Amino acid sequence: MLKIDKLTASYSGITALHGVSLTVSKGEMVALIGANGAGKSTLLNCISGIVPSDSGQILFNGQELSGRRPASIARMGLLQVPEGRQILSDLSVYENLQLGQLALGNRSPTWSHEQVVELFPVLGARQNQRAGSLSGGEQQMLAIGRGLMGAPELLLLDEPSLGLAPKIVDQVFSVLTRLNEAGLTILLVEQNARRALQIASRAYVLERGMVVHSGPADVVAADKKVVTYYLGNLADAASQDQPA
Amino acid sequence: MLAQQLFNGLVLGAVYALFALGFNLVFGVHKIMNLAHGAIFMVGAFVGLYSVTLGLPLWAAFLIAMVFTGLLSVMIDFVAFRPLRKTGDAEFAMLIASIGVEMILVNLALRASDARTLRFPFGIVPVEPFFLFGMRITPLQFVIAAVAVLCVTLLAFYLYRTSFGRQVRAVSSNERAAMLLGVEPRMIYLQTFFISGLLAGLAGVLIGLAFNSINFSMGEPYLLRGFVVLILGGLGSLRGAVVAGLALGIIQTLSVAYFPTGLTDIIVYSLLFAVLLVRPNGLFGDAVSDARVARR
Amino acid sequence: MRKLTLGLAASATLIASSSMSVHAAEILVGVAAELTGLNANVGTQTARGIEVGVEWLNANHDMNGNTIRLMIEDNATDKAQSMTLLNKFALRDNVHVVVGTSSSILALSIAPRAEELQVPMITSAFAPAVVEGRKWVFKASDTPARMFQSIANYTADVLKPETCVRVYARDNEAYVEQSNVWARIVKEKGVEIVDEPSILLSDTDFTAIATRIVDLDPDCLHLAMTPETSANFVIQTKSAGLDPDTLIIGGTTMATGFFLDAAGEAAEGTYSLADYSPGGINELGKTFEAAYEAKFGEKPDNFSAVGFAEALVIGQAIKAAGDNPTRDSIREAMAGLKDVETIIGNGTLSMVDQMAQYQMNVLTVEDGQLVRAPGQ
Repeated sequence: MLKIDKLTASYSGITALHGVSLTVSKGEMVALIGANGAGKSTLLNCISGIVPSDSGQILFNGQELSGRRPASIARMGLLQVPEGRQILSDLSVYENLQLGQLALGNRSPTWSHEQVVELFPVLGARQNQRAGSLSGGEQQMLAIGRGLMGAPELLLLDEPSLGLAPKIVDQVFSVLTRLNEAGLTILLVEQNARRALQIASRAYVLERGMVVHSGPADVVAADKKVVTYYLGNLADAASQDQPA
Repeated sequence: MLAQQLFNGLVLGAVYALFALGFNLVFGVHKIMNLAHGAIFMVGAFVGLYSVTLGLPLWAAFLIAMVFTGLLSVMIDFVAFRPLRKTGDAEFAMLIASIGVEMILVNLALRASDARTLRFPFGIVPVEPFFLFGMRITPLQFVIAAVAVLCVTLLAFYLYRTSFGRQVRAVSSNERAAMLLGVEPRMIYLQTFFISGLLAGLAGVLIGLAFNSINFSMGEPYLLRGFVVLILGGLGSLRGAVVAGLALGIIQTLSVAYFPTGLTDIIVYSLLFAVLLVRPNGLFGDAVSDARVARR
Repeated sequence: MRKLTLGLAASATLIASSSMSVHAAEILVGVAAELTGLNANVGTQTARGIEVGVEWLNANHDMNGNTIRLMIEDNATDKAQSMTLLNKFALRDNVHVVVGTSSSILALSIAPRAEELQVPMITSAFAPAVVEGRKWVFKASDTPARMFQSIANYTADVLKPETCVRVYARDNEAYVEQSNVWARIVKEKGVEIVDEPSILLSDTDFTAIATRIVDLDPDCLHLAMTPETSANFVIQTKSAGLDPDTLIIGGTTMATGFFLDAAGEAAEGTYSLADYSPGGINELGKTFEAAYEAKFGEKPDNFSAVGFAEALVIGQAIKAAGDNPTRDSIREAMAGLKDVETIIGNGTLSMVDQMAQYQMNVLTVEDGQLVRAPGQ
């Protein structure tokens, strides 16, 4: 579905991606992990058309994305839930969800407003509130719900757990799992590598703008280097929270 | 006299609000302080006058002036602001660019008019006043008040009840997030600049008609007042622009009516400072500070 | 044409040398006028008046057999260009007299140079400072203080209001002064000033002040501001319900076509002040009007009349300068002109301290035309 080939891109004059290649197939949940500044967000923004690429290819369902404007990429069904939620705080919760439909273009919706509210009941209860007045977790749900309103074929999530309490992170990740099980293709960028690797089927590790490791999520999670660099300091938490 | 002066103030305030709406729309949505707004307003008055001089009926002159200034405003965005926007953080550069545009337009008008003050021909609008609750109201005063109410209503409807308006507010709240949702910012810039120019042109023709004078420098005092309205109402708040515009009109009129005339500006600006001491973000400034936080 | 003039001058010289009693010469007069730029309108009208004046002088006026050759050039309402013209006239063309600008700012900037070059310069500029401390520079129009006296006297002695409101443009010194002089004189004569609001020349909305004035219901309203602003002010006070019997009095700015055009019907019955009374105060005035209309196809305005009067002053000075007029003798003669005929004021003019003195005319608007107000 998504095929990235030897992608190079710069951000603020510094080369942030050095020939990244990556694929996401239909129905997969792929995790992209790496340290702060490894180029994860730049990669997502390159895919979404916000950061221009210098060279390489991004193909979505066989169509070249580079050179397209962000709005047109969104309307193809390639939707990003950006880092820090980026909800439209001056607009109401309801209006935020309605705006999500803009990405539909000529495509038909896959998620109705009712279904989204069923998934995140809090969005129904607060639909007339200013989105800016929601808590961080509620805002994240709104951002995901808003993405669903646009009938995504591929959902890009940038750090959905950032700044959220562990309990809320659990909720968000369980929703992502359910969505994926229901057939939604997801590319998940996370600093919380351990959690990401738990729910993803495959994973890529990005370091200084290059893919240094990739493979099935459990294989990556077992890699010594990955454990040392990305999972090591979370070992205590991991022992409490073993997957079933 | 008080009732009459309050009404006078209300009409003047409606004019300020009309002027400030477009000014504030562009600032509120795009964070562009377009100091050429006064010049666009002036061009509107001239285009309206030339249309009437060419023998067109007044309604057509309004229409032509509004479309002309709407397109002019879009063109200014294309030529002066868009290239700067591409370079990233350019709020200050755009402010300077807008001053440049203002100077060009004012000087063109100076040349075209030979620095003369022009006016609409007599009899183009009825001047016979009517009386209401002891107040003397000219048809034009009534029209200005009505047009202001209509414009505010239409703008509010557009922004809060239509899909386009929702997109405009989305860009205002967070341009990048809006882009990721499929909003095409170029279309939004086109709309806001067109509407802003259109409102400026409308205000220009109305004021040219109401106050019998059209000249190259007519935009400057209104720009200054528009600025006061913007600060007083809260940067980017359209509700604030309306309330502050009306308040400014009434305060200014009452101070002219009851105090020595030389003190008017002193009174108006002292009150502005007093309001800012109590509410540093203006009367309706809070919403914007939220938007700003989200933007970072 | 030039050759012809030269030929005539040459034959005149021949006659002069043969008779030895008359010395006829060609007197050169250079005019630096605002033909383009900001003050193009005033400058053009003044220059046209001078042109008609010189033609009349050459044809009808005895200047001891001398004739005037006129050179009119454009100063573009620009200081540097005015200075260039003054130097060119005085040094290269060797003119006898320079006619300076109509704008005070330009006149003030070139007057010191005229003094230095010792060439007589006459200007229709307003500011008395142009002549102060100099002996080569002359002013063709009356001093502001004397001018405004005449309308103040007319207000108090002929119109006799009991209460007045005066309104002035506070951002222009000349208008403030004009209003102050008027108020001082009418107050001395027992008129009560009940309010004195001020405006800015950039203002266009006068509804609040208009309502304030209407509420006071004064017998008269005195305005000191530009023609356009005066017109706008009159329209807005009338629209706010000013009693139609209220006398509206202004200065020179309201005796102009700009005011009449901009005020329309609201101009009817207003009083204003002018050097020239339309239609002519005397036979010479009528002659001027006919000649002007024949040449330019339109009626002269106040500026053209002042231009004509400037030419007359030069002609009279040439005559009084005696044989072989020089810059020096013309200057001396000009300074001593007394009770000479002119077309502005009440028809006679004297030079006092290099400034023309004459009685200004109070005008009023009747059926859209400026006419001399009765009772003067």
